[in-house]
Amino acid sequence: MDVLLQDIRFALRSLRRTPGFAAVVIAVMTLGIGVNTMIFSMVYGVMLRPWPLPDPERIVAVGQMDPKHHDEDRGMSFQNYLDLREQSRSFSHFGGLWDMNAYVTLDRDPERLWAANITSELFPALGVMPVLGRNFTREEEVWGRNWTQVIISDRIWRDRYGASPGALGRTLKLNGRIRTIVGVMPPGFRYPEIQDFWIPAGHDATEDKRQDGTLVGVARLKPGVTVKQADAEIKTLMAGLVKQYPKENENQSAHVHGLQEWYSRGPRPLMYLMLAAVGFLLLISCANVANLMLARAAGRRREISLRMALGASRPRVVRQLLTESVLLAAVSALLGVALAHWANGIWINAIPMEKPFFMDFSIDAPVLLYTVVIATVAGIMFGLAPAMHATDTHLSEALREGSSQAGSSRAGNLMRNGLVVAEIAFSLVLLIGSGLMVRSFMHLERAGRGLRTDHVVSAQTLLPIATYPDENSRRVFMRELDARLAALPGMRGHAIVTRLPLNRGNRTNGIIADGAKYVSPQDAPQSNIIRGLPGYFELIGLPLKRGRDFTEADREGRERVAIVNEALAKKLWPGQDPIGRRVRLSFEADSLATAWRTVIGVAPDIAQNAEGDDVPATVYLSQMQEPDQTFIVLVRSERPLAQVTAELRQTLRSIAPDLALTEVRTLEAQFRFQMWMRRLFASLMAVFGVMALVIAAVGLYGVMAYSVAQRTQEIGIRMALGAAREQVVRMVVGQALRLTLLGCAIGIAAALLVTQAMATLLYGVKPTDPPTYAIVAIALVMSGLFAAAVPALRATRVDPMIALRAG
Amino acid sequence: MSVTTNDRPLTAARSSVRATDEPNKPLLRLEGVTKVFYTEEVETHALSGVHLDIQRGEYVSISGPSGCGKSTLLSILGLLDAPTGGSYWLDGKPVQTLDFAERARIRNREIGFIFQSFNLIGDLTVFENVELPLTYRGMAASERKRRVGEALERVSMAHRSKHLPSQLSGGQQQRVAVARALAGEPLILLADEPTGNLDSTNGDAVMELLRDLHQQGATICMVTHDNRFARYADRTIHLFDGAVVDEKKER
Repeated sequence: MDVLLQDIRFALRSLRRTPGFAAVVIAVMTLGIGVNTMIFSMVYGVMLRPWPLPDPERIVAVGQMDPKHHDEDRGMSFQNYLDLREQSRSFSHFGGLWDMNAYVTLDRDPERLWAANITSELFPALGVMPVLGRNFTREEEVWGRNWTQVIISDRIWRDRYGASPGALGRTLKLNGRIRTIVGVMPPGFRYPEIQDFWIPAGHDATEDKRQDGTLVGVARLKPGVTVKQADAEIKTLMAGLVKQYPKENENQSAHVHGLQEWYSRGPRPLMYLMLAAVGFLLLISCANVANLMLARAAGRRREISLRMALGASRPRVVRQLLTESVLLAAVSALLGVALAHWANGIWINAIPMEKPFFMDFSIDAPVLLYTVVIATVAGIMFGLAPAMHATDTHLSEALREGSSQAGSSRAGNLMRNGLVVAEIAFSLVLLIGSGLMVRSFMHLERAGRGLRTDHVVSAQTLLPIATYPDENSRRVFMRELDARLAALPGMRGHAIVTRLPLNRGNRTNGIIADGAKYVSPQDAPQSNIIRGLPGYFELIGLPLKRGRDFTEADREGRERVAIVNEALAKKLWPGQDPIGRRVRLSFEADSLATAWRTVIGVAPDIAQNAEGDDVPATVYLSQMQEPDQTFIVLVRSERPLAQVTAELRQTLRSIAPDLALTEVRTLEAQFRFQMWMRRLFASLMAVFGVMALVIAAVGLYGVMAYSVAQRTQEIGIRMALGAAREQVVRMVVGQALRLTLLGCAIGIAAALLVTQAMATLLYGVKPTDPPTYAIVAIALVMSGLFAAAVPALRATRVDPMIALRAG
Repeated sequence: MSVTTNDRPLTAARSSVRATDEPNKPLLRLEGVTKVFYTEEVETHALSGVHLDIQRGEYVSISGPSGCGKSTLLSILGLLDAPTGGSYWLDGKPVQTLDFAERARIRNREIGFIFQSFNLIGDLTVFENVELPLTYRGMAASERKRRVGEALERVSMAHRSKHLPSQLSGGQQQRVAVARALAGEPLILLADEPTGNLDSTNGDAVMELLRDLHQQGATICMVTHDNRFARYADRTIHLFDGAVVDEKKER
């Protein structure tokens, strides 16, 4: 301990004597460690932090899957769930749920909040029960018996009912049904994400055909049962159900995964990308600082040699030097945590929506532990090689009077050059990753900008099943709404559509072309399904490529029609005219009279999913012929947003007082909102890329400046022998260029491999996108030349007489 | 070549440089030591078969023209460098084949260095500079403090123990360097041109200090090119082209 304290004291004193060096190292490492802490707090909050539920590792997700079609994420049908719940022995509780929009009337105006339909065993499976009132019962899981109860969140109980026990028994209107509050959940509980209401999931035995389901199974393992054992059991039970109901359960299997692991599968690629990006940034920072340490150690070679001459063993001196680097890393870690805390505030504020209840981005003990670990590893990484090199010294030579203190050995130069090449290569990989993300975002933005968003306001609503139980009732509503919107003052156009482009996630189904033969419906190509009223394409400036738009004539009782986009047309009828051909959804029976829709138009392709892997194929169906529950109203009006919003609300209320209008924004703002995640991560990647570029340029500058300082005498001799200034500049810049080009070559090779993992996160660009590679390589070479310019100019100012005399 | 030894007995009343229990065995013996430096194209013979014995309590000076191999010889004696050939015994033990760690241990415990350029560490105070080799020995803090205090007293630098080297004159710095060499109570002091960076007054003072130490029993081997200072030694060895060409007793 005495020796350690002495090492720390010496290290502090040594660093105090070189404040400039210490400041540069701390600045670079603060950035490196800070962004790593920031991103780890994000990754930990999204994927790793144990959920605030009792024994969260015992909770599992159960779902159906279709291994044949590589579809591992299918909801369960209610009937299959009930059978599996009955038969399984691995779980102490086996619940299920699906989430939904909740249009709730608590006070006067309806508002859109979030709810979940849950079975009676969901809360026991999660290990959380109502703190007030009761849970649902199995008897309430039956369609019709599930219409009158609701359990509310602690948040709603406090904010809307003043935390009064009298809230139990009071009623509220949720999606058109009057429900009695039967329970209140404990504080903080919002499962699955930001739910405030839970209603019983009702099973309708007459409707459930086992073929499709949206139910997500959530179960708690019995003590001693592993996830693997439960998975095996569920697979066996599901195989029995497949045998029992071969047609309905064709190609189906089931799976059990840890609940948290299952939830994190979506953000995982993006989280890994972020971790990789900041990992590269840390490597670049370490390489940069290692180079500085190397130069500093060379300047201290005599001191180091002296310590060894006085009997310090090599490990002892290495430890002393590592104490300095770990100390620098420790200070950087402290500042890095402050930086991460500040940066977290910025990116968290950039999220335009409430975060799920289990996400917590605090920089607390686990995140700090990570910071300590990476800071220590970084300190050793950037300190070890220079320390080893510095102590690999020829003692008698280093201690001799007049010997070169700088110790510019060949090995040292090789190491310095190697580090700067590594820095450039790492930077190039990171910059290409950033470039690909930014270009993806730009492609999407361009797609949005290509649409006519001027003076368009969009708003969303939902027609509850309780009050709009069938297509006809919805159709009546649509017709009424359509007419009233057309009559609004200042109106220059309107449309209704179920989904806007550049949205979050894909909502797809298999599409079968008339005449196509598939072994099973699941073999059919996947396509986005959007429903709309006439005028949508014209309103948003997406003119049809061929055929016609929907018209008033495309109504119920007439031939069902569809518009396909170019991507789907190419998939279903390559090289042929799609107009007049017929399509149906894969789950609809061939024999069903209403199944087939005739293609009347071809729409241009536009990105549907702004957040990840986009499915370009899209089919548009008529909202009047087959109206959906949820839809978006678009109006183009010259009036101000507030006025249009008020008029829209008034219009809706005049038809149905219980309906709430949500997400009322200009269409441009809506697109911006939809792309927040893409924008956030593209921005983060861009920031990391710029940081990498600057650090690499500073690193190269450092090496070139050091090299010029080392070669002062040589340059003096060259100039004394008649070298022109341009020749000296060429010599210095040439050296920098060689290092940069080598780094770029290695970086490009590495990027070609590494960026393949990004494929699913890109839109409109391939991981091998040549312009991105070219732009990044040129930027790096230019910054390399720029970094070499100052040392090169300094070299030309060497006075041959002084340089020669100094030697 | 064999160099005759001087068998003057140690008669010091008190010495910081340890005497060994075997007065008849040379403290240090080189037999046919060679040193060749290899560069990419040139092979340089710095030492060519040097034989040398140094007895306990002896004060030997090594002189010769620039490039004759004086410093190389001192580096080998100090285990800062390894000979290319030949044998080297220190206190009766062969040391030419020891590994790096063992050599570091011997340098720390058995050898005290005094360099021409003092080689004090600028970040450390006088006290800490003298303490440094004792720290590497893993010695307890109280013992270190005692030894450093004594060593600084002996070179009359105790009053400057909290100063940094940059606050001292050249002569004072060299006295601190001598204290550092003494503090570990080594078997031998190796001094490489100890007056080379000092003016004549300070140079004389340092030489007087070494003479005092020698009179107290210290074994000293000094490299110098200044004949005036070589005369302080009991015996002078003259090197030329890496070989011992002459040696004589001064007193």
